[in-house]
Amino acid sequence: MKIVIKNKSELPIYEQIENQIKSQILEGKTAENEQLPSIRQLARDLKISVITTTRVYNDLAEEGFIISVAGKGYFVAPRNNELLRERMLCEMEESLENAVTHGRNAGLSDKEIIDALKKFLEE
Amino acid sequence: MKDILKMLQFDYITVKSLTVRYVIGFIMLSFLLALFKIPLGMLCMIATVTLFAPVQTISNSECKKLYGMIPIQRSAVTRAMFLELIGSLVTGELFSYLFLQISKYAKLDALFPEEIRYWISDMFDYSSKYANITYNDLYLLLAVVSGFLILLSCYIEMRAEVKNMETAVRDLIIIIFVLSAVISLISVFVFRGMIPPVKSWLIPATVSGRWLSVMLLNLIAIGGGLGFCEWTVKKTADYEM
Amino acid sequence: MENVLEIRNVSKAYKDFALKNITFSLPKGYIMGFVGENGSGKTTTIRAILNMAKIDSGTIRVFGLDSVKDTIVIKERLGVVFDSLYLANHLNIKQIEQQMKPFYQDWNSEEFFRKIKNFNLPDDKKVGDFSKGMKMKLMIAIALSHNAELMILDEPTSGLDPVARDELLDILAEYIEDENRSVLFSTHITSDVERIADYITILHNGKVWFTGAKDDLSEKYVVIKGAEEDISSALREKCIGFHAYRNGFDALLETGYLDQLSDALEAEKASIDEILVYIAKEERHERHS
Repeated sequence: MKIVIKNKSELPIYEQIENQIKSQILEGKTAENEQLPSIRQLARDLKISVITTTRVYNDLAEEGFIISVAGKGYFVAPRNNELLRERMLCEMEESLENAVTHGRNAGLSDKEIIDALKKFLEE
Repeated sequence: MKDILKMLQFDYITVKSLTVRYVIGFIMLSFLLALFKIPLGMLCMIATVTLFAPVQTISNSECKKLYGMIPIQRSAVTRAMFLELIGSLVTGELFSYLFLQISKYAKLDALFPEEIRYWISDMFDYSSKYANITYNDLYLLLAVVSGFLILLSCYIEMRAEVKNMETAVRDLIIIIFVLSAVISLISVFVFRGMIPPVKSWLIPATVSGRWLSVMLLNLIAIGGGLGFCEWTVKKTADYEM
Repeated sequence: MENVLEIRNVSKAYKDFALKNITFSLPKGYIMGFVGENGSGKTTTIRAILNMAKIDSGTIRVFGLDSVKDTIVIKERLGVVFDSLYLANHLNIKQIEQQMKPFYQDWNSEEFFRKIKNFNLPDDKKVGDFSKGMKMKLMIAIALSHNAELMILDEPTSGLDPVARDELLDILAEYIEDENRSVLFSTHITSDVERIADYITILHNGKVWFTGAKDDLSEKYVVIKGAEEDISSALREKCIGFHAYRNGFDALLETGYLDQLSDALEAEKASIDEILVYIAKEERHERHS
């Protein structure tokens, strides 16, 4: 898994890391049950504070992206994980809502919007 | 007690590569010369006191932080310092007695040609030439001088720790001046016969009496030195490091 | 959460400087950056922790023990690194190991020499000839070789080049991988603290200006910039270190007041450096008014 921090970014470091991990998981770039580095290992590798990495893992676990196994560490949540699925569902619905809004703003009719969606489904 | 030993060991490692070889060299030289009746060994104390001298200069700087960092009692650091001082002086003193004894009974100067032998006995043989000073007197003189040196150096050490180096040096200079003045004055009086040589009633008649005096003088000096040590420990207990 | 270090209401007065009511704690397993300008009291505080200086009032507890009564027991478990070497210059590393070994019950010679090798330090050269970075690493090697649970470093990166500083920070990060260990390190080079510290205590003029999680601090302040007429006088009061120049002004402000800010003003997250500078400016204003 690739994690890179930009120092000069306005985004807080924890947000950068969370976003990167989330998008890699969502885009399927990670293997199921792939083990993540421990909280302190990650802190050392990225040269950031332990509290930051702790927060990252806590947030990601709460949102269902990763799971913590007692005594073993943190792992990417399995695909059929309920929370993850729900989250991905949420993301999709959000995107769809956005698409519809944009489409309507552009003056498209409902049918034209659905046609556009079909085109993507066929790809 | 263990802490003091740890400090002594620590300081020894510090000075081992600096002064030990020179002190040993001096001792061996003294031994050799004593065999020829040249008592260089009388100055042994001056040599041995340099053994731990580097510790004094080093510990007045950055190394103070070390004492604050390691798990050791402050009092142990101070006591080790005084013990090093007293110990090295007493060791030198003991060597001096040894070399004096050797000088007294040495016969190796017979190896030298006559002129040199006479020169040596002129300068250094105290058993006959100068009726006023014998080897026995020398032991006593040595005891007095060492006792004084022990007390003086412990006092100066105390002043350096309780006050500071400048005060200690100032005290030392004052003491040297005063002492020189007093001794010169006394010598003048003695020379002019104004004070009869007090030798007769100050110096014990018997040999064992003299050794007793030697021991007594040393005990007083060492006791005094340790007294300065404890005073220093007490006063510096709350000092900043 | 257990605190490995607790400082409560510590005060100490010198002739022309004083520590006033210092209070902060370091939870076990974390790194605290101890920052403040030169003369703010960082070294004095550290010396108080080490019982090298007596405090006038307050308590200091390390590992739950009293810093004065139990100072010897504490120091067995403490690794200390100063900004300069405390060893005799003419000795080499082998001799120094001989010197340090007897003082610590848990001294581990193998560990020590492993670290020395790791740090690329020659064990037969005089330590007085080492570079500053090498001397620092030697002190660290000593601090790490007796199972210390808390490392205290006083300005360890001063005088080090960026490479050496980076190496030092990595050493600390590796040390803290074990969650039973903690680090307190004082520095005025705030970039060291910016990334790696979990907690920060800011000292200014002998007083604690902020103590808490570093993330809380970085979200607490912003630097605002703009034209003087764009800021209300009420808000101007709340600014710290207000600096007016010909074409505008800049100042530090708590994030809580952001919503009162006019859109004409720029606001950027404040770095620790900037916070320190504005605090100092604020103080100068107070002194002149």
